Amino acid sequence: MQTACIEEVGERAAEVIEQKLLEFCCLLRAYEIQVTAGRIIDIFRSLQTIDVFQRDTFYTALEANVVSRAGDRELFRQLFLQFWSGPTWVMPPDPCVPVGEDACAPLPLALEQAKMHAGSWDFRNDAGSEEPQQTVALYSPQEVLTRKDFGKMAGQELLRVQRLITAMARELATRMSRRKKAGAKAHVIDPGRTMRRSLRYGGEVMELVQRGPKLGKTKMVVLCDVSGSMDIYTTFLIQFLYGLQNGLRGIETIVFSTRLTRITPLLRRRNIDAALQLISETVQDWSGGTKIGACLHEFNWTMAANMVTSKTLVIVISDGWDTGDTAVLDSAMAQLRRMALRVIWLNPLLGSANYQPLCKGIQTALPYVHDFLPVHNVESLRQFGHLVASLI
Amino acid sequence: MEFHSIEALQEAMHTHDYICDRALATIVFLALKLEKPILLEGEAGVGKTEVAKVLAAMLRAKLIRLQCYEGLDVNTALYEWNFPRQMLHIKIAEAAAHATAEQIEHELFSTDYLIKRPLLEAIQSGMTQPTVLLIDEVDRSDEEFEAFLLEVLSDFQISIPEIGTMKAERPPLVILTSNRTREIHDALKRRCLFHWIDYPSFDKEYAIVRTKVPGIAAHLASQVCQFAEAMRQQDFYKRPGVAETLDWARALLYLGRERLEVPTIEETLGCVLKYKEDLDKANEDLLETILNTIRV
Repeated sequence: MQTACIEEVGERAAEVIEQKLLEFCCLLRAYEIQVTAGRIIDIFRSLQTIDVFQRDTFYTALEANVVSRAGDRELFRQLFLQFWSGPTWVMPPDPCVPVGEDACAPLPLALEQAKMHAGSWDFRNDAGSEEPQQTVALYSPQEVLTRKDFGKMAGQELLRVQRLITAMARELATRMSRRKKAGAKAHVIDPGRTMRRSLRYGGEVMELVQRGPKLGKTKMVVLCDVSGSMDIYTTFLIQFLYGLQNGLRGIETIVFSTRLTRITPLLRRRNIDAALQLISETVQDWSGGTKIGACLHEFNWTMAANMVTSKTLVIVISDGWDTGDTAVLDSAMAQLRRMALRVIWLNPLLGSANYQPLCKGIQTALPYVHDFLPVHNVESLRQFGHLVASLI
Repeated sequence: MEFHSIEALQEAMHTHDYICDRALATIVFLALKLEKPILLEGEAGVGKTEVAKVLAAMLRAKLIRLQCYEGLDVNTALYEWNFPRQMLHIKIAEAAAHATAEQIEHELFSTDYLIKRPLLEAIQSGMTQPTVLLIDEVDRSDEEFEAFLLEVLSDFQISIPEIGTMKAERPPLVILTSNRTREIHDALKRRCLFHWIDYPSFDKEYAIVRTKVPGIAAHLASQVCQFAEAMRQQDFYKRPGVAETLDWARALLYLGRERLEVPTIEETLGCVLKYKEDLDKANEDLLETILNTIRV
């Protein structure tokens, strides 16, 4: 078997390989795997040290440089298999032209060899070079998508929006944690700086320099309604919660319809599909009826003690269709408001123009709610993000 | 120590009792050649931290470890002035009255009064000898710290205003590990070679157990590994990693057990499952069922 790093395969062959690699990187980008210029350079540097004829080594080298999220590994594997599936991987050695010396070989021969190499590095008659462009085109109408109601989306749009939401949640998570640092107030003496400052006065401590303590992480508890009436929105919301959960610590997520299920640990799965699968297996009352009052009451009594403090944002996501007793809901909401920093109610129905909060559940809950926001499309999730970022 | 091929490196790791697959060996090989950090992710107990320890031993390098936690800040990671000592020095200088203010200041901010934390230590150590820097459980640190880390990892240079800039001649080999309690920022990830360490296959785990627990009988080792593998198929809150398998194998060895039986397993289950909920779930019936699926 041949062994050679990229510098030894010959100039033409190297060019072909490099060309193919760039195409492959474009393909990866089209699937939103971040391949930056720096990474491409590192790939080429890697190829100088490894044996490019060994498929698994080649694979590992590319993967290590390109993939940085466990969830992207499977996608990368599939794209790799699809793109680099030549008829044979091992390039047939040419007896006349020893590898490594073909730079000096007559041009026609070198050309021949390059073609041969191209053959084995090729895939599906170059269909790949067109495919990425198609995919890119398909991804462009972002603006339209951000305003579209989740309930009216299908197929490709769903996928696209899922990615958008996850990205947004992560961005939001980072911004939220930065704010805390900026908002820190100073009231602890910093001995090191005080010491250094004292040198100005010949070693006497004249000024006390203070250091800002880190604020405790504000916690967020999300209570999400997964009853039948919420069905079309639930997938997106869980997606959003998944993104938040994985970007930020201190978030608890609980879903409810007739009873409560804490899904925080389930959201910590390697990828969103596995998480969704697990959640749908675990949550037994999925798409059932709604007893918001009873559920919130149960939450207050069982979980709230560990989760809700005066620094906690409580977010309830529900359309407010309650089949239970309104008196229970009333007292539960009152208690929740007393405990939490802020109660935010997100309602997907609020997105439609002619919606009026008339149903009993919403009417009971509204007086206790600090913010009442829509949550039916990406734009509204973004609004919600701004609100949360301004609060903590 | 130079490695000329991936095979040689894999072999060297084996001789240091770390059974690694070719993919991991390739990553380490690349990291050494490209001088890039490695980011290892995987479930708890699959041997992420061990990689750094083994590499340090293998490269005859100094291992410097930075354990991340929530609230870790620059002072604890990089350097801090030894302020009580500085204070004392001032007082002594005052009493002796032998120096001017400039002299005292010059002395106070010399390296003698610097408390070196892991990152500075790694950079300084990188000036004289090969160094492996292990940044453990980076997902536990705060986002701000991550941004700072990014700065250090990109050029291995630290500026201390009072002293000047320090730069590692040869950048240390950096291993970052993460348990994925949260996603690490993309900018940091881009600097690193990424590798996911999965739960090992039966063969690999068997090899690990035989290597790490020398006295164990082949039969028992095989049973333990199969059982651990089957346990991972179950829906536990925390599934056992290789570390747990090894603990368990050692426990069984010390107890003088020669084969797995339900009472034996129940006695030693604390080695494998660490949560009460999981222990409750693993009742006699479940253990019996799993045990029956194991080929003898």
